[in-house]
Amino acid sequence: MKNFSDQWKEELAPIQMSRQEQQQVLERVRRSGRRRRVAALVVVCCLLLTAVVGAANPALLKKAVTLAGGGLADLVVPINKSDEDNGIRVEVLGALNDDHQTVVYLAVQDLTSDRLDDTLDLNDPTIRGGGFAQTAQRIDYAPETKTALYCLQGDGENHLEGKKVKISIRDMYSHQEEQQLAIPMDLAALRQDPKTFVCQETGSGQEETTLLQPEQCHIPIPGLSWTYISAIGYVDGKLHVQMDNSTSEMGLNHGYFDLAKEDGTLLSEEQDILSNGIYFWAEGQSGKQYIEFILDVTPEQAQGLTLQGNFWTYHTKIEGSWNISFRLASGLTQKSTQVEEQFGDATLEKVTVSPMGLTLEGTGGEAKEEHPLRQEMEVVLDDGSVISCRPTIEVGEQEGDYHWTLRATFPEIQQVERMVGVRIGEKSISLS
Amino acid sequence: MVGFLTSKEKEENLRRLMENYGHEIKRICYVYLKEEQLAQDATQDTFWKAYQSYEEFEGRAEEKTWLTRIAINTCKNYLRTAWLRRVLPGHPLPQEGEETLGKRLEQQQVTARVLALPTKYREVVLLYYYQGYQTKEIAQLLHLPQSTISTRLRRAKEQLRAQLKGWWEDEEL
Repeated sequence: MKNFSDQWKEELAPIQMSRQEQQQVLERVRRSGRRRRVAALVVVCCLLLTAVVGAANPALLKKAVTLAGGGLADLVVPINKSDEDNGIRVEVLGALNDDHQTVVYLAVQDLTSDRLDDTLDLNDPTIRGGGFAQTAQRIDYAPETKTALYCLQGDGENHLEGKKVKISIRDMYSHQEEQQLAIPMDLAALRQDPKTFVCQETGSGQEETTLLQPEQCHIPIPGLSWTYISAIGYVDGKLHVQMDNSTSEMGLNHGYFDLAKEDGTLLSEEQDILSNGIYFWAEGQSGKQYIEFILDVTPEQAQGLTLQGNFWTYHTKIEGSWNISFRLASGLTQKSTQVEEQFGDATLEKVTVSPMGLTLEGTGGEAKEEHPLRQEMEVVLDDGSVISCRPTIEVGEQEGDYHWTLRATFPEIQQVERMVGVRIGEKSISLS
Repeated sequence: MVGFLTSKEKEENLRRLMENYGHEIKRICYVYLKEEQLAQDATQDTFWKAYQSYEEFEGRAEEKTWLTRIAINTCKNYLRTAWLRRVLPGHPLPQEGEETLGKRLEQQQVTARVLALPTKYREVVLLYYYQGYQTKEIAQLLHLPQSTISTRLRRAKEQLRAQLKGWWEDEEL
């Protein structure tokens, strides 16, 4: 008889990192290297043309906090740490946290040229250690100082107070152009038997979806060079439109399809015909990524309509490596209470309030479904008045039971000492 | 610290890391993520991150342990965003009835049982039985107390023993 380890190793042996997979990583390295070298040359040529925002900048922090709203000014802790790369300075102006949420105010300044503008998008900035569900909101751009202000938010983590976090940014995009482009074709005459495949969505849903086999056609989109329609046709009475999502070097370029009537009005304004785009990757040599949109119209309904693409194209990409570490230390007072309350098939187990918001934790329910606690609720104050809020952020881990954290952010800072309870539907939970 | 490396040296180093550890890292990712394409993505992300941070590799741990830690963090990030809408596989696609590697593995005695364990048990079984780490090393890798690792390992073994009894030598479980 074999032992457990040997048997398992034998079973897993077919899983291998192929030469092609290795090659794809090397390609990624080479692409990033080429761009970095070009960018470095630009920096040398343009050095010292622009004034620099000082490292400690209370006025900028005040502006950022005021613009972001929420009456946070007194509580935000100044950080004033920065990092520079590729002629761009990223500075953490200040931060605010409770045990479940991190808010960070950033200034992004071009020190050498005019690569930033009021369409600047930071691509996937991360607050490592500062929460899973992260958002980045641009709150201002000042052309005179070439500085954009950002508010980053991370949610769903536990025990954030005192934790060291690291802001990391790898690339950013600007000079965005928005286009609505008509794509001439006879929609009623499109194939009703295109080649398809059935695939399974990853994640907890595991639903099966029928999509078009890629590269059945190559229909250029007039006025757009970074993508094309790679397949189109009707599947189960709905119009599928697939576009190549990998040909652009501008990683944030995106778009979707709609249908326009003869008078120019969009059908989606009258009927619910649009779906979210479904991403998938081609295996094999191409490794391309595609996105497919499903429009809920039959060939008959599509008669006389025009396919319209709505696209956002970025003309400037700035690559670099900006990393700033600091410790979260807002020291906000919080109140928590353990409960066991049933809401549908989800069990609420813990309720926490801080000056920033309400956090609910529990188990059960399904990640893919609308959570039963995503509803209006009230935090009751000691004078009987209430703060109304609704959880908008859900972070969870499906591991047997679904363990979830829901977060509602208060519209403005509140005094925890005055909070005495939470009302959710018919149920009242006392905050001791 | 490894010190400054030229681009060519970094690339050669990456090639060597993928050559030496690519298969093992992909198997770790598969056991975490239970899905071939995601495991491929996570493996590539692991080596990309290793390439970016190799100069910060302090040599306090072995390369394999360092890479394992990156892979674990990468997989955990994937799991946290697992309900994001992603679709697999792509093209060329398995025809109806065609047996994929994932399907074959799901039918294997040991792999199927291990994959059915919750993540917290699966990862300690992976690191202990497959990677050969001791509980102290696993505790360092996962940033958990050694006693927690021992408890998880014991509970995982209890579950596996019940299902695999009679198939493999009992002392190994």
